[in-house]
Amino acid sequence: MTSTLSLALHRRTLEQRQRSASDDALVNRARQGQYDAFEGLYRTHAPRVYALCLRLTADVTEANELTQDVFIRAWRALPEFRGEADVATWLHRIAVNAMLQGRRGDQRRTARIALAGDHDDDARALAEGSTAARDVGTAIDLERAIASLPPGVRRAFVLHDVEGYTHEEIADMTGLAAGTLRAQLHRARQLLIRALSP
Amino acid sequence: MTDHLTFDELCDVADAPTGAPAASAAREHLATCADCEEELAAITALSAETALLPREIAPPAEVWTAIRAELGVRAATQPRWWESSSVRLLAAGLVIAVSSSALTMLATRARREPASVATAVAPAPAPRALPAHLASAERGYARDVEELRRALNERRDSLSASTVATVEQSLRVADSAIAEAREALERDPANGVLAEIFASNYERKIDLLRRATELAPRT
Repeated sequence: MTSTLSLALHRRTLEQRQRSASDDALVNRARQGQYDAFEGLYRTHAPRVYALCLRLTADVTEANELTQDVFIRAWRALPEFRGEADVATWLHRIAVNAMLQGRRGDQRRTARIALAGDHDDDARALAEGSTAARDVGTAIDLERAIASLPPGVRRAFVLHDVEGYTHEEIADMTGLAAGTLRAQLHRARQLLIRALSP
Repeated sequence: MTDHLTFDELCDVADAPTGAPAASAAREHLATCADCEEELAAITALSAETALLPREIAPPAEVWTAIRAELGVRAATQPRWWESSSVRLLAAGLVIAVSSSALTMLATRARREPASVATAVAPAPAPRALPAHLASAERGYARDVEELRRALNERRDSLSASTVATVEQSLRVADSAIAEAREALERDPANGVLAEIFASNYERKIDLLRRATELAPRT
């Protein structure tokens, strides 16, 4: 039987290898204050950071703000970045830390695509179970169901099952006990299976 | 073992590496209990579906604009880095496009027609029903696309053939992702995540067009 963690870990490792070489050059130039190199890092890594932020926050406006926050923090922290971790991992850490610090701006901008009411729909779907078709609908339903999870269990599921972090890594990032994380992860899976059952 | 396995125990089995001894007792039970086997299959299926989720979603263009403003970079500053690395960047854009639209591409991959150059032209929004706010957003995107398309066509003779081919290929992928997200949205117009993917696909196409246009000097 394939480990539930192995697919995510394998995918993460492959992606990291492909990107690390060009990242080093960009980081070196960005450290010297070259904004265009930093834009190169943004273009490379923003889609992954944004996907993480969107799933962690389940809110488009918050995800936009969090992604901005991540890259502004990264720019300011570049002088201290020594390359012990690859850039993607470093940015993910910044994203998780920023999210955990509860960045909740009062001045939310209006998203280009309004999502008002979506959370109610998601919560209803989670409670009642989705009836949508499988294939493409499965992935869409899964995204909706993840977005509807309570924040703590959503964070555990996104970091462990989607992003492939180990319990130890998540515990290190969040400061939560391994037992708590395990309980949150299992609760998330239970809720998702229930939500996705026909 | 006669009692059913708990959900926590089943998750531990699912998470354990193949052949891990810690789960051996549970596996013995699973061999004889259809209920637990079914529940474990549900956990495994969830894991497989999760592994297929797109890892990349392009952020809206205004995210970078806001970052640049916060860092104090004036808009007039041109990113010379990609003037000298145009093909590599555009190819990277293609990779991002493929991965971030995986959600909708997965379902329609089998019935997709072979791409042609003609598909690179921005498709006019089909007269099918989208919620008003999405239809309005799409009209705005279509105007941006048309304007950038016109500018690119005026300058395309100054681009190399390989750059044009890369741009066209990237645009075809973006168009395909837009069409598939739109089709899915028509079936599920209240889906916020899908709306975000739909918008991201348009933003990405506009970004590709903008970057391609900036690669080409005015003639």
